[in-house]
Amino acid sequence: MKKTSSPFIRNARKDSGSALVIALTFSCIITFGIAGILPLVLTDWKLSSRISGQEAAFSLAESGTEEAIWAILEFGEEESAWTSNGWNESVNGKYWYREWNLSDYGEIYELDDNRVASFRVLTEKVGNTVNTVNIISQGIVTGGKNVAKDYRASRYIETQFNRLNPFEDGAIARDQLDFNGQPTFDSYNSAIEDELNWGDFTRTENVTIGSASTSASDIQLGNATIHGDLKTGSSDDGSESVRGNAQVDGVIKYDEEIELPEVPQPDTSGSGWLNQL
Amino acid sequence: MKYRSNTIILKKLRHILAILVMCSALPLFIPQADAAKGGNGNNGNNGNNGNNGNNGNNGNNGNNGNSGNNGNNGNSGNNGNSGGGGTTIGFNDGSTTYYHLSSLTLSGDMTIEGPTVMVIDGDFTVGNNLLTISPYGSLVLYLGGSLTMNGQGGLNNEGIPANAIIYGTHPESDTDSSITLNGNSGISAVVYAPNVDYTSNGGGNSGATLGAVIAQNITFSGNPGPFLYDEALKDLQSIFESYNLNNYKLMKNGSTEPSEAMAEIVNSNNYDALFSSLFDD
Repeated sequence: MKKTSSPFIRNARKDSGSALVIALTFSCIITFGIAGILPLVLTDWKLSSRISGQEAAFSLAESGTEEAIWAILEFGEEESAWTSNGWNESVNGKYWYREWNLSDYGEIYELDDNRVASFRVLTEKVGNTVNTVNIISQGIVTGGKNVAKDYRASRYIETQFNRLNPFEDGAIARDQLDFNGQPTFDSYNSAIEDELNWGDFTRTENVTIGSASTSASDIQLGNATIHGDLKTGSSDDGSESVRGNAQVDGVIKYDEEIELPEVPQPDTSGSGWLNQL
Repeated sequence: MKYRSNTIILKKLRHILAILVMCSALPLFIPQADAAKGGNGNNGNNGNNGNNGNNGNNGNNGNNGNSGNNGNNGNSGNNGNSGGGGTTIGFNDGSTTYYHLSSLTLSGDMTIEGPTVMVIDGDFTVGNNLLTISPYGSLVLYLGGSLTMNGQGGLNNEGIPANAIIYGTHPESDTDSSITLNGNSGISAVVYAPNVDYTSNGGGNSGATLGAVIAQNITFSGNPGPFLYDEALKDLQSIFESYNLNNYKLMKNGSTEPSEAMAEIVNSNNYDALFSSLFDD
C-alpha cells in the first residue's frame, strides 16, 4: 500500500529543495567570484608590498644623501675626520664611501618583519672639483611580508651641490649700475695667457655685467660697450629699455636672482696676527 | 784718579747693565726660535713681530727688522703706514703672513712676496704708489673701511686678479665706506663688497680694471680704461661654506648608468657593479 504524504509535508520538501538550489547557485557565484578576484587581490597585495619596498628604498637613498651633506659640511677637506667617522677612501682617491645598515639602529627605525634596509653613499671629495660636490646614494630593501624570499628593492639618487661663487660674472651691482661715459667691458683668461702684460690680453668677449635690482631704471649704461651679456633682476617688458644707448653684444637676461651674502670679518683674536707692517 | 776710578766703576756698571738687559731680552727671542718653522725670514723690512712667538708661520721675522716694534696679537695697531722707500711683506716659502691693522696708507711702493691675509678695520689708501704682488705672493684683504687709489697708483700689476682678493666686510648699514679709483690708477683684483659703492673715475687707458667687481652700486665715470673680467675666476675656490642643490636626479628604477660627471669621479659606467665591488655584495 502506497503511503502518501500530507500536502503540508509535500510543500515543505518542495520549498527546501528550492532553497538548496538557490544556496548552491549563490555558493557557485561566490566561489567563482572569489576565484576570479583572489588572484587580483593577491597581485595587488604583492604589488603594494613591492611599491612599499621601492618607496622605502627611495627614502633610504635620500637619507644617504643627507648623511653625505652633513659629513661634507662637518669634515670638509679634513681627511682624517672622514676616516675616523667610518668613511672609506676610494682607490682613485676621488671620493669617500660608506654603508649604513638600519638593523644597527633598531630602536630608531621600525621595520616590517623580515625586512632588511640599508643605504650606501659615495660622495666626491671636497676640493676634487672646484665649488661642486657630486653624491650618489643607494637605498636597499630586502625581504619583508608578502614578497618573494629573494625580494630586493634598490634605488639610486644622484645629486650635485654647488657652493656660491660670486665671481662667475664680471661686474655685478646689488643696486645700481651707473656708467656716465664710454667704458668698455670685455674679458680675458689669465689661465691661458702665454704672457701676462698689464691690460694687454687676448679678449674673449665673455663678460657679464648686471644688477640684482628688480628695477630696470637702476641700470644706466650710458654709452658703454659690453662684449658679453647683461643681467638684470627686472622683468622683461619687451622694450629692452634696460639697454639704453649701450652696445650689448650678448643677450639680456631678465628676472635673475643674484645672491650676495655678507662676508664676516675673520676672527683675529688668536695669536699670529701682526698689527704693524 | 778719583775720576778715573769712577769711570771704571761706571764702565763695569754699564757692562753689568748690558748683561742684565741681554738676559732680560733673551726670553723674547726664545719663542721666535721655537716658532721659526715657517720660513727663512730673509725678507725683513718689517721687524715688528718680535712678540709673536706662538705664530708658527710668522715668528721668524723678529730678527730681521728695521723698526723692531713689537706687535700685540689680537689688537689691531694704530696704523699701517708703509715706508717711503718701499716695503716688502710676506715670505716666498709658501707660509702665510697675517696682519690685522686699523688702517693702511701706502706712501711708498709695497711688494707682497708671499701669501698674505690682511684685515683692515678702517681705510686703505694707495697714493701714487704701486702695490705689487710677486709671482709667489697673494693677498686676501678683508676691508672694513674705504679703499681709495689715487694718481698712478696700482694694485697687483701682474695681471692675475685671483692673487688679490678684496672682501668688504661692511654691514648693510654702512653708508660711509666706498671703493674708489681716481686718476690713472689700475687694479687687478677681485672685489666683493656687496654693501659699499665701487667708483672708477679713471681718465686713461692705464687705469684698467682686471678681475671682477661685486658692489652695492657700481659707477664708471668719464672714459676709464677697459674693464676686463678674468674668466679664470669661474674656478676660484668659494669662501662660502654652504652648498646649494644644483642638480637632483632620481634614477629610474633599474637604471644603473651614472651621469658623465659621476662616471669620471667613480671611474665606472655601472653603479650596480661598482657598489657590489665596494660593499662586497
